[in-house]
Amino acid sequence: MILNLFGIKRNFVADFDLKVRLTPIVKEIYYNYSLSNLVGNIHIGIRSFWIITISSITPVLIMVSICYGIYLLRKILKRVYNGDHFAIENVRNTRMLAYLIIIVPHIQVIMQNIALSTLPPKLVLDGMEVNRMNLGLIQIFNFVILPQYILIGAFVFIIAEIFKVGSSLKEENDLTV
Amino acid sequence: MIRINLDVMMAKRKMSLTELAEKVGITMANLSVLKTEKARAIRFSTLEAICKALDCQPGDILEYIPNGEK
Repeated sequence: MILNLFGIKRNFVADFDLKVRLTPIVKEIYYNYSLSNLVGNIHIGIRSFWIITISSITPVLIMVSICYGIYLLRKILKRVYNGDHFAIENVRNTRMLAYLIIIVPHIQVIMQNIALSTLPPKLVLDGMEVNRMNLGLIQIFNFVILPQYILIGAFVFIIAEIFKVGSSLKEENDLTV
Repeated sequence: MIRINLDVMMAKRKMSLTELAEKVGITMANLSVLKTEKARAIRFSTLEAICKALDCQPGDILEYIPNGEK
């Protein structure tokens, strides 16, 4: 069974006649809430200026980072297909890609956690307790560690180092008469 | 550092860079890299070919300069 709360402006109605009345909505944000092992989305209105700012800026930052990542990947692939595998620009671009892979998801989750921390950790809805879910595997206050992105980033970093070694070998080979 | 005295030997033999490149069998660009001391390494086969073309010893082309001296 999945707890589904459908937001209709100020009232939320669940399958089991659960009604929640909230304060007037300025900005709507979705957060994950859990009920024992049941997971669902609750639609909450937030009035804080900072939360609205964070929730508005973060998706733009993420989108820009993704576009930049795709641009870097395109540049790397273009050089590889042109036979210029070990160009020094490939080393720089691959490193930048690794930084993006590691940093961007962390920024996103930290921003989400900052926004989430302003909400109550527990909601009691008609006698039922709804617990707030934590974002990120390892969390200390609002700081999180996402091992999957760190692993992928580290792998891309290794590729960058391989490009670097290849670049120096190529240079040495080119300058051997 | 190792100094390349290729231009000195070429002047002694009155040989141009193009002529030497043809005789040695390497490109002008590679010979220029060697002459301007930008080369990281030189193959024995190239050194042998240069010595043959200029009729000289490897020591006439390569000279060891201790660090700090010019």
